[in-house]
Amino acid sequence: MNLTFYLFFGFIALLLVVFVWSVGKPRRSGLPLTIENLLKGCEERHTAYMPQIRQALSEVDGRYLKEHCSQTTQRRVRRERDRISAAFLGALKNDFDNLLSLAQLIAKLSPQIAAMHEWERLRLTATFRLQFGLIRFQLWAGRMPLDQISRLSMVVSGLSMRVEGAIQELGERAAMAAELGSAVNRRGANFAE
Amino acid sequence: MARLGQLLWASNTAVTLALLVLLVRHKIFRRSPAFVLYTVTNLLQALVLYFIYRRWGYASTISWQVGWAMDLLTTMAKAIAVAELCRQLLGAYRGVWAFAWRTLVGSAVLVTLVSLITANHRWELLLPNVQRALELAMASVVVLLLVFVRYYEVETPAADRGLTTGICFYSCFVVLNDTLLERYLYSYAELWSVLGLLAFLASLLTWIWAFRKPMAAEASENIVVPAGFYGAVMPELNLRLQLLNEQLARFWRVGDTRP
Repeated sequence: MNLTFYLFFGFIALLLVVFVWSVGKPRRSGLPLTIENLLKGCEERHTAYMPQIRQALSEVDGRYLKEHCSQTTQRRVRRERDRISAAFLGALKNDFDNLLSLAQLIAKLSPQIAAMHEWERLRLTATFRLQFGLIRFQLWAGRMPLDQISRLSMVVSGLSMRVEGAIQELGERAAMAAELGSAVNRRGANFAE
Repeated sequence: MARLGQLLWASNTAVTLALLVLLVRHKIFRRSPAFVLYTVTNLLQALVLYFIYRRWGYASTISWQVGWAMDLLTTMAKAIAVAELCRQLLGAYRGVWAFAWRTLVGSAVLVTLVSLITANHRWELLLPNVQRALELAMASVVVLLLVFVRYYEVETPAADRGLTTGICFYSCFVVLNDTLLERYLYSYAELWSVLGLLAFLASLLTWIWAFRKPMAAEASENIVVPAGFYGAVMPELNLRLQLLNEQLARFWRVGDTRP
């Protein structure tokens, strides 16, 4: 009896939380949601700047600083590295959000969608958001080893090269959809806001 | 308390009538016939109960039976209005709709069954339990619908936002109210009635606010990409998301290995 009582109240509380979340406006950067803008966002991938970030975080630089610079300079460099780590994370999130928006728009415009792909994307999004939050917290708490982040950036560069071909092909295919979208927009249906 | 209940009952009938006038004036019946039908059912319920209570009194068995029968009738009308709302918001996107309606129906059936199974199995609580299960299913469907709307960034007219808010609020309230009734039974019955009327009044006012202006005409055409496009592109997009996720996972594991 008691369990049922709390079960119903708990479920309603959960529904209300999700309701409030779902009626809120999603956080989105200024550009309107169109295939053209999303493709532009996908092309301007921030992870392309990984070699420069890797250089900034390199162990060699760290050792040099330790041997030749004052404590104050080392601290300043460390702060700078923290900032770069945060920027790197932000870049990953930006890439993820752009691709996610593109996928959502394509799903919206498609006459048929596969539940398997949709659930998979939902799972990936949930995992990404959770991990992102945890890592950001770690960075904030000062627990992130910068030398290892440097090694990670090498992995990122490698992956970027691997997916380059796939994205290029995706761009060509999506351009076809963009033409269709523009044609319909001209006829009055507006999906850009 | 009884006097307050009567006052609220009269107010609700008047406000329901005002809502119906507004819906007819703004020709909402063309766009949302099921919601108009739901409003008419509510009005009908008030009229029927008025005559029943006058003829047989509030505490008679026939009043109890007719009261619950009318409640279930309005709940069914509301369920049809919820289905109509889902279709209005997502129906324009064929692929998403095909995916969404199965999910929504599945979740509604699941929630109804779980709610009925976990309820207190006493015969006098049968009808409140059925009503609670249906209201809980509707609240879940509306919330899930809004999740779909947000996830796929579907444009929602202000009137539909008001409609979903009113439906969700009232359904959630009925579930809580019926749960309290199940626990405290007769000692809560009078308050149960008054609170239910108050919650319904709040929903009616939300709907009046939502439909205060005529609705803009909807775009009739939808953008559709070729049938094979989704199947060709989506696995690649998911793969890329997976890769970004893996990068993040490595980042996380790197952080984890620090002594």
